[in-house]
Amino acid sequence: MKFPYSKYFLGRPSRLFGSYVEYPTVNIDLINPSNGRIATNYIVLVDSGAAMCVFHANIAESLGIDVESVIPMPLRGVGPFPGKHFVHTIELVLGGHHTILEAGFSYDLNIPFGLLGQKGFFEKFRICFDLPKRDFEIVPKER
Amino acid sequence: MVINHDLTKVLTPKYAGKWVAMNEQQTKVVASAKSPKEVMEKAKRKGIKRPVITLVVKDYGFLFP
Repeated sequence: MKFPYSKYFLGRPSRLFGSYVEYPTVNIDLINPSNGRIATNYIVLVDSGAAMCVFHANIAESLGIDVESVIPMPLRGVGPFPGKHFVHTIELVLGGHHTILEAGFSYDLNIPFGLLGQKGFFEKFRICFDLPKRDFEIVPKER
Repeated sequence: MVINHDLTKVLTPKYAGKWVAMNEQQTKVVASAKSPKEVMEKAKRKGIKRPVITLVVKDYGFLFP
């Protein structure tokens, strides 16, 4: 599956970037496997620097997940410190491909995108970024 | 379906701090709200079956060093 980079505005134009920045974002569906409730086309960042997948906690709330019903885990790097997140089982759909994973949900994620990280995503897909072509490829790994 | 990936004119600072729903082509914001649940419900009431959901910030340079 090939996806183009998406352009987002910069509040302060940058000498390096100009008036916009391009990020490798994709739209995913998240499904609560216990009740089938779905959040459609949630924009997330494909982030090789993220150790695991982390999404906004209020996305989980919209799926009927009791976010704080599990033990909190520390969250570093993408929010106020010390942040925390709560790990729940979720079904992710990308380009028609379904996968079940353990993902963190956080109220401290102070960026606009959820994060597709190493654990749960990069271990299940092969990702190739091609910024010169302004696209990236995501291929499910055969099991 | 052609999908717009230049969101510079769609996800604008006037929505900063809000969750928004775009149409599936990502050409316009169809609803905004304080939570994804509320914005999804608003979009579906407007007939958007699969809204695109995101949080908007005033500056997408958030990952800059």
